[in-house]
Amino acid sequence: MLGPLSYAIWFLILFAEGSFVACALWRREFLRYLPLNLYMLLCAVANGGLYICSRDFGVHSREYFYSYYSSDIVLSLLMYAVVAELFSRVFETTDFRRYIRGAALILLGLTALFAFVSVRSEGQEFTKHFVVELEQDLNFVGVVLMYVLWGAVIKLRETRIRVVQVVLALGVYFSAVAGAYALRNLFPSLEFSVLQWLPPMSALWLVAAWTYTFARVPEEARMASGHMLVTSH
Amino acid sequence: MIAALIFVASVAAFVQFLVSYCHSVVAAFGKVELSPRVREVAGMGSREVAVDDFARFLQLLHLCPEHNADRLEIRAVKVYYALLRGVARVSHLFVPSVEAWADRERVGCSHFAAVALDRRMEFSRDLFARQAGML
Repeated sequence: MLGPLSYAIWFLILFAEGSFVACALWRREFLRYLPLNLYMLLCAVANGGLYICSRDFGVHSREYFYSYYSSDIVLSLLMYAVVAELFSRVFETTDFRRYIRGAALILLGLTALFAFVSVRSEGQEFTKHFVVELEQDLNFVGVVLMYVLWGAVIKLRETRIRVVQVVLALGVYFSAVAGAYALRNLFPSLEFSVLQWLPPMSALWLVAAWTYTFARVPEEARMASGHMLVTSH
Repeated sequence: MIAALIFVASVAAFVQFLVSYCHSVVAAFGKVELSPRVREVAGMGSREVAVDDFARFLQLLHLCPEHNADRLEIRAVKVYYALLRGVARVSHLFVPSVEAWADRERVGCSHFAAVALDRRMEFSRDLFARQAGML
Protein backbone atom coordinates (compact mmCIF):
# COMPACT_ATOMS: atom_id res chain seq x y z
CA MET A 1 0.00 0.00 0.00
CA LEU A 2 1.09 3.54 -0.64
CA GLY A 3 1.28 6.08 2.16
CA PRO A 4 -0.89 9.20 2.48
CA LEU A 5 1.87 11.38 1.00
CA SER A 6 2.07 9.20 -2.12
CA TYR A 7 -1.68 9.42 -2.60
CA ALA A 8 -1.59 13.17 -1.98
CA ILE A 9 1.05 13.65 -4.71
CA TRP A 10 -0.87 11.30 -7.00
CA PHE A 11 -4.10 13.26 -6.66
CA LEU A 12 -2.23 16.56 -6.95
CA ILE A 13 -0.75 15.46 -10.28
CA LEU A 14 -4.12 14.15 -11.44
CA PHE A 15 -5.80 17.42 -10.50
CA ALA A 16 -3.04 19.51 -12.15
CA GLU A 17 -3.25 17.50 -15.39
CA GLY A 18 -7.03 17.74 -15.47
CA SER A 19 -6.85 21.48 -14.80
CA PHE A 20 -4.30 21.95 -17.56
CA VAL A 21 -6.59 20.31 -20.11
CA ALA A 22 -9.65 22.18 -18.82
CA CYS A 23 -7.77 25.50 -19.10
CA ALA A 24 -6.66 24.64 -22.66
CA LEU A 25 -10.28 23.94 -23.60
CA TRP A 26 -11.47 27.11 -21.89
CA ARG A 27 -8.86 29.24 -23.71
CA ARG A 28 -9.73 27.41 -26.95
CA GLU A 29 -6.12 26.34 -27.39
CA PHE A 30 -6.65 22.58 -27.24
CA LEU A 31 -6.23 22.07 -30.97
CA ARG A 32 -3.41 24.60 -31.38
CA TYR A 33 -1.18 22.45 -29.17
CA LEU A 34 -2.93 19.16 -29.86
CA PRO A 35 -0.15 16.59 -29.06
CA LEU A 36 0.71 18.42 -25.85
CA ASN A 37 -2.89 18.61 -24.67
CA LEU A 38 -3.57 15.01 -25.71
CA TYR A 39 -0.52 13.96 -23.71
CA MET A 40 -1.83 15.73 -20.61
CA LEU A 41 -5.31 14.30 -21.12
CA LEU A 42 -3.96 10.75 -21.42
CA CYS A 43 -1.70 11.31 -18.41
CA ALA A 44 -4.79 12.18 -16.37
CA VAL A 45 -6.67 9.13 -17.71
CA ALA A 46 -3.68 6.84 -17.05
CA ASN A 47 -3.24 8.20 -13.52
CA GLY A 48 -6.93 7.63 -12.80
CA GLY A 49 -6.70 4.09 -14.18
CA LEU A 50 -3.57 3.33 -12.17
CA TYR A 51 -5.24 4.55 -9.02
CA ILE A 52 -8.11 2.09 -9.58
CA CYS A 53 -5.59 -0.66 -10.35
CA SER A 54 -3.61 0.06 -7.19
CA ARG A 55 -6.79 0.07 -5.10
CA ASP A 56 -8.02 -3.25 -6.52
CA PHE A 57 -4.76 -5.17 -6.86
CA GLY A 58 -2.12 -3.26 -4.83
CA VAL A 59 0.96 -1.46 -6.10
CA HIS A 60 3.19 -4.52 -5.81
CA SER A 61 0.92 -6.72 -7.92
CA ARG A 62 1.75 -8.03 -11.38
CA GLU A 63 -1.37 -6.31 -12.75
CA TYR A 64 -0.19 -2.94 -11.45
CA PHE A 65 3.32 -3.50 -12.81
CA TYR A 66 2.08 -4.17 -16.34
CA SER A 67 -0.53 -1.41 -16.19
CA TYR A 68 2.11 1.04 -15.00
CA TYR A 69 4.70 0.21 -17.62
CA SER A 70 2.29 -0.25 -20.53
CA SER A 71 0.59 3.09 -19.83
CA ASP A 72 4.01 4.69 -19.34
CA ILE A 73 5.22 3.41 -22.70
CA VAL A 74 2.10 4.70 -24.45
CA LEU A 75 2.67 8.06 -22.75
CA SER A 76 6.35 8.01 -23.72
CA LEU A 77 5.34 7.45 -27.35
CA LEU A 78 2.90 10.30 -27.13
CA MET A 79 5.62 12.41 -25.58
CA TYR A 80 7.64 11.70 -28.71
CA ALA A 81 4.79 13.21 -30.70
CA VAL A 82 5.00 16.29 -28.43
CA VAL A 83 8.76 16.52 -29.02
CA ALA A 84 8.27 16.10 -32.79
CA GLU A 85 5.66 18.86 -32.70
CA LEU A 86 8.12 21.15 -30.87
CA PHE A 87 10.78 20.33 -33.47
CA SER A 88 8.26 21.27 -36.18
CA ARG A 89 7.56 24.60 -34.51
CA VAL A 90 11.23 25.46 -34.04
CA PHE A 91 12.16 24.35 -37.57
CA GLU A 92 9.04 25.73 -39.27
CA THR A 93 11.02 28.22 -41.35
CA THR A 94 13.55 25.64 -42.58
CA ASP A 95 13.46 22.74 -45.06
CA PHE A 96 14.23 20.32 -42.26
CA ARG A 97 10.63 20.44 -41.11
CA ARG A 98 9.41 17.88 -43.66
CA TYR A 99 11.89 15.24 -42.42
CA ILE A 100 10.97 15.51 -38.75
CA ARG A 101 8.21 12.87 -38.65
CA GLY A 102 10.31 10.34 -40.55
CA ALA A 103 13.35 11.02 -38.38
CA ALA A 104 11.24 10.65 -35.21
CA LEU A 105 9.88 7.28 -36.38
CA ILE A 106 13.33 5.97 -37.30
CA LEU A 107 14.74 7.09 -33.94
CA LEU A 108 11.86 5.42 -32.14
CA GLY A 109 12.42 2.17 -34.05
CA LEU A 110 16.14 2.25 -33.31
CA THR A 111 15.51 2.86 -29.61
CA ALA A 112 13.11 -0.10 -29.45
CA LEU A 113 15.64 -2.24 -31.32
CA PHE A 114 18.41 -1.24 -28.91
CA ALA A 115 16.17 -2.11 -25.94
CA PHE A 116 15.33 -5.46 -27.55
CA VAL A 117 19.00 -6.30 -28.19
CA SER A 118 19.89 -5.30 -24.61
CA VAL A 119 17.41 -7.72 -22.99
CA ARG A 120 16.95 -10.51 -25.57
CA SER A 121 18.82 -13.04 -23.40
CA GLU A 122 16.47 -12.59 -20.44
CA GLY A 123 14.24 -15.59 -21.33
CA GLN A 124 11.10 -15.95 -19.17
CA GLU A 125 11.16 -12.41 -17.81
CA PHE A 126 11.75 -10.94 -21.26
CA THR A 127 8.62 -8.73 -21.43
CA LYS A 128 9.23 -7.32 -17.97
CA HIS A 129 12.85 -6.46 -18.73
CA PHE A 130 11.98 -5.15 -22.17
CA VAL A 131 9.42 -2.62 -20.96
CA VAL A 132 11.76 -1.38 -18.20
CA GLU A 133 14.69 -1.11 -20.62
CA LEU A 134 12.61 0.63 -23.29
CA GLU A 135 11.29 3.08 -20.73
CA GLN A 136 14.82 4.00 -19.64
CA ASP A 137 16.14 4.27 -23.18
CA LEU A 138 13.24 6.47 -24.27
CA ASN A 139 13.90 8.82 -21.38
CA PHE A 140 17.57 9.13 -22.18
CA VAL A 141 16.88 9.65 -25.89
CA GLY A 142 14.42 12.31 -24.72
CA VAL A 143 17.25 14.15 -22.94
CA VAL A 144 19.41 13.99 -26.08
CA LEU A 145 16.53 15.22 -28.25
CA MET A 146 15.86 18.12 -25.91
CA TYR A 147 19.53 19.06 -26.07
CA VAL A 148 19.37 19.04 -29.87
CA LEU A 149 16.17 21.08 -29.78
CA TRP A 150 17.67 23.52 -27.32
CA GLY A 151 20.68 23.94 -29.61
CA ALA A 152 18.28 24.64 -32.49
CA VAL A 153 16.40 27.20 -30.37
CA ILE A 154 19.68 29.08 -29.80
CA LYS A 155 20.95 28.68 -33.37
CA LEU A 156 17.68 29.74 -35.03
CA ARG A 157 17.24 32.59 -32.53
CA GLU A 158 13.83 31.42 -31.44
CA THR A 159 12.18 34.24 -29.48
CA ARG A 160 8.67 32.87 -28.85
CA ILE A 161 8.58 32.68 -25.07
CA ARG A 162 6.02 29.89 -25.01
CA VAL A 163 8.09 27.63 -27.24
CA VAL A 164 11.30 28.35 -25.30
CA GLN A 165 9.70 27.68 -21.92
CA VAL A 166 7.89 24.53 -23.04
CA VAL A 167 11.16 23.14 -24.45
CA LEU A 168 13.18 23.98 -21.33
CA ALA A 169 10.55 22.62 -18.92
CA LEU A 170 10.53 19.39 -20.91
CA GLY A 171 14.34 19.29 -20.78
CA VAL A 172 14.23 19.57 -16.98
CA TYR A 173 11.64 16.78 -16.86
CA PHE A 174 13.50 14.37 -19.13
CA SER A 175 16.86 14.89 -17.44
CA ALA A 176 15.37 14.42 -13.96
CA VAL A 177 13.60 11.19 -14.96
CA ALA A 178 16.60 9.82 -16.88
CA GLY A 179 18.86 10.65 -13.93
CA ALA A 180 16.50 8.90 -11.51
CA TYR A 181 16.38 5.74 -13.63
CA ALA A 182 20.18 5.74 -14.03
CA LEU A 183 20.63 6.13 -10.28
CA ARG A 184 18.20 3.27 -9.71
CA ASN A 185 20.29 1.09 -11.99
CA LEU A 186 23.44 2.05 -10.12
CA PHE A 187 21.94 1.56 -6.65
CA PRO A 188 18.93 -0.82 -6.84
CA SER A 189 18.47 -0.60 -3.06
CA LEU A 190 17.41 3.05 -3.45
CA GLU A 191 14.41 2.12 -5.61
CA PHE A 192 11.87 2.40 -2.81
CA SER A 193 13.52 5.28 -0.97
CA VAL A 194 14.19 8.76 -2.27
CA LEU A 195 14.16 7.67 -5.92
CA GLN A 196 10.51 6.68 -5.93
CA TRP A 197 9.63 10.38 -5.49
CA LEU A 198 11.65 11.69 -8.40
CA PRO A 199 9.45 10.61 -11.36
CA PRO A 200 6.19 11.88 -9.78
CA MET A 201 7.86 15.11 -8.69
CA SER A 202 9.19 15.53 -12.23
CA ALA A 203 5.69 14.98 -13.63
CA LEU A 204 4.38 17.58 -11.19
CA TRP A 205 7.10 20.00 -12.28
CA LEU A 206 6.22 19.50 -15.94
CA VAL A 207 2.52 20.13 -15.54
CA ALA A 208 3.15 23.12 -13.22
CA ALA A 209 5.70 24.69 -15.59
CA TRP A 210 3.49 24.19 -18.66
CA THR A 211 0.45 25.53 -16.80
CA TYR A 212 2.45 28.61 -15.85
CA THR A 213 3.59 29.12 -19.44
CA PHE A 214 0.16 28.76 -21.02
CA ALA A 215 -1.65 30.72 -18.31
CA ARG A 216 0.78 33.62 -17.97
CA VAL A 217 2.58 33.92 -21.32
CA PRO A 218 0.50 35.07 -24.29
CA GLU A 219 0.96 33.30 -27.61
CA GLU A 220 2.44 36.41 -29.24
CA ALA A 221 4.95 37.16 -26.42
CA ARG A 222 8.54 37.44 -27.65
CA MET A 223 11.89 37.81 -25.94
CA ALA A 224 14.35 40.52 -26.82
CA SER A 225 16.66 39.07 -29.48
CA GLY A 226 19.91 37.73 -28.05
CA HIS A 227 18.36 37.60 -24.59
CA MET A 228 17.18 34.08 -24.92
CA LEU A 229 19.38 31.73 -23.00
CA VAL A 230 22.03 31.77 -20.37
CA THR A 231 24.81 30.76 -22.71
CA SER A 232 23.93 33.33 -25.34
CA HIS A 233 25.10 36.34 -23.31
CA MET B 1 29.32 2.15 -16.40
CA ILE B 2 26.64 3.24 -18.91
CA ALA B 3 24.24 4.03 -16.07
CA ALA B 4 26.92 6.17 -14.39
CA LEU B 5 27.52 8.07 -17.64
CA ILE B 6 23.78 8.59 -18.15
CA PHE B 7 23.50 9.82 -14.57
CA VAL B 8 26.32 12.37 -14.94
CA ALA B 9 24.98 13.57 -18.31
CA SER B 10 21.45 13.83 -16.90
CA VAL B 11 22.55 15.85 -13.87
CA ALA B 12 24.52 18.24 -16.10
CA ALA B 13 21.54 18.58 -18.45
CA PHE B 14 19.16 19.06 -15.52
CA VAL B 15 21.16 21.97 -14.09
CA GLN B 16 21.54 23.61 -17.49
CA PHE B 17 17.87 23.26 -18.44
CA LEU B 18 16.69 24.47 -15.02
CA VAL B 19 18.94 27.55 -15.05
CA SER B 20 17.89 28.33 -18.63
CA TYR B 21 14.23 27.91 -17.69
CA CYS B 22 14.57 30.33 -14.76
CA HIS B 23 16.41 32.71 -17.07
CA SER B 24 13.59 32.52 -19.63
CA VAL B 25 10.99 33.35 -16.94
CA VAL B 26 12.98 36.40 -15.85
CA ALA B 27 14.01 37.45 -19.38
CA ALA B 28 10.37 37.41 -20.49
CA PHE B 29 10.02 40.63 -18.48
CA GLY B 30 13.19 42.17 -19.95
CA LYS B 31 11.27 44.01 -22.66
CA VAL B 32 8.86 45.66 -20.23
CA GLU B 33 9.66 49.34 -19.65
CA LEU B 34 9.41 50.62 -16.08
CA SER B 35 6.92 53.39 -15.50
CA PRO B 36 8.05 56.77 -14.08
CA ARG B 37 5.81 56.01 -11.09
CA VAL B 38 7.77 52.92 -10.03
CA ARG B 39 11.09 54.74 -10.62
CA GLU B 40 9.92 57.51 -8.35
CA VAL B 41 8.69 55.19 -5.61
CA ALA B 42 11.95 53.22 -5.67
CA GLY B 43 14.03 56.41 -5.80
CA MET B 44 15.79 55.30 -8.98
CA GLY B 45 15.66 58.51 -10.94
CA SER B 46 16.77 57.83 -14.49
CA ARG B 47 19.39 55.18 -13.74
CA GLU B 48 19.10 51.54 -14.83
CA VAL B 49 17.98 48.75 -12.47
CA ALA B 50 20.94 47.44 -10.45
CA VAL B 51 21.84 44.07 -8.89
CA ASP B 52 21.08 45.15 -5.33
CA ASP B 53 17.72 46.74 -6.11
CA PHE B 54 16.00 43.36 -5.77
CA ALA B 55 15.66 43.53 -1.96
CA ARG B 56 14.24 47.07 -2.08
CA PHE B 57 11.69 46.14 -4.75
CA LEU B 58 10.64 43.15 -2.67
CA GLN B 59 10.14 45.32 0.41
CA LEU B 60 7.99 47.67 -1.63
CA LEU B 61 6.08 44.72 -3.08
CA HIS B 62 5.16 43.61 0.42
CA LEU B 63 3.63 47.03 1.06
CA CYS B 64 1.20 46.59 -1.83
CA PRO B 65 -1.95 44.48 -1.49
CA GLU B 66 -1.27 40.85 -2.48
CA HIS B 67 -2.11 39.90 -6.01
CA ASN B 68 -2.68 36.13 -6.20
CA ALA B 69 -1.68 35.89 -9.85
CA ASP B 70 1.98 36.84 -9.29
CA ARG B 71 2.65 35.41 -5.82
CA LEU B 72 4.07 32.11 -7.02
CA GLU B 73 6.35 33.54 -9.67
CA ILE B 74 7.72 36.14 -7.24
CA ARG B 75 8.57 33.34 -4.83
CA ALA B 76 10.24 31.33 -7.59
CA VAL B 77 12.33 34.30 -8.71
CA LYS B 78 13.26 34.98 -5.07
CA VAL B 79 14.67 31.45 -4.83
CA TYR B 80 16.49 31.89 -8.15
CA TYR B 81 17.97 35.20 -6.96
CA ALA B 82 19.18 33.60 -3.71
CA LEU B 83 20.84 30.79 -5.69
CA LEU B 84 22.50 33.30 -8.00
CA ARG B 85 23.78 35.26 -5.03
CA GLY B 86 25.35 32.05 -3.70
CA VAL B 87 26.89 31.31 -7.10
CA ALA B 88 28.25 34.87 -7.34
CA ARG B 89 29.84 34.63 -3.88
CA VAL B 90 31.42 31.23 -4.51
CA SER B 91 32.73 32.17 -7.95
CA HIS B 92 33.96 35.62 -6.89
CA LEU B 93 37.56 34.51 -6.31
CA PHE B 94 37.90 31.63 -8.75
CA VAL B 95 35.76 32.24 -11.85
CA PRO B 96 35.08 35.94 -12.44
CA SER B 97 33.16 35.25 -15.66
CA VAL B 98 30.62 33.15 -13.75
CA GLU B 99 30.27 35.93 -11.20
CA ALA B 100 29.63 38.40 -14.02
CA TRP B 101 26.99 36.10 -15.51
CA ALA B 102 25.30 35.65 -12.10
CA ASP B 103 25.25 39.43 -11.64
CA ARG B 104 23.61 39.92 -15.05
CA GLU B 105 20.98 37.39 -14.09
CA ARG B 106 20.42 39.16 -10.77
CA VAL B 107 19.86 42.42 -12.63
CA GLY B 108 17.20 40.54 -14.61
CA CYS B 109 15.63 39.42 -11.32
CA SER B 110 15.64 43.02 -10.04
CA HIS B 111 13.96 44.16 -13.24
CA PHE B 112 11.38 41.39 -12.84
CA ALA B 113 10.64 42.59 -9.27
CA ALA B 114 10.34 46.17 -10.50
CA VAL B 115 7.82 45.11 -13.16
CA ALA B 116 5.89 43.11 -10.56
CA LEU B 117 5.84 46.18 -8.30
CA ASP B 118 4.62 48.31 -11.16
CA ARG B 119 1.79 45.88 -11.84
CA ARG B 120 0.79 45.68 -8.20
CA MET B 121 0.73 49.43 -7.94
CA GLU B 122 -1.46 49.58 -11.02
CA PHE B 123 -3.71 46.90 -9.54
CA SER B 124 -3.96 48.77 -6.22
CA ARG B 125 -4.76 52.03 -7.99
CA ASP B 126 -7.55 50.36 -9.96
CA LEU B 127 -8.86 48.81 -6.75
CA PHE B 128 -8.94 52.17 -4.95
CA ALA B 129 -10.52 53.85 -7.97
CA ARG B 130 -13.26 51.19 -8.03
CA GLN B 131 -13.85 51.52 -4.29
CA ALA B 132 -13.96 55.31 -4.56
CA GLY B 133 -16.48 54.97 -7.37
CA MET B 134 -18.68 52.76 -5.22
CA LEU B 135 -18.78 55.26 -2.33
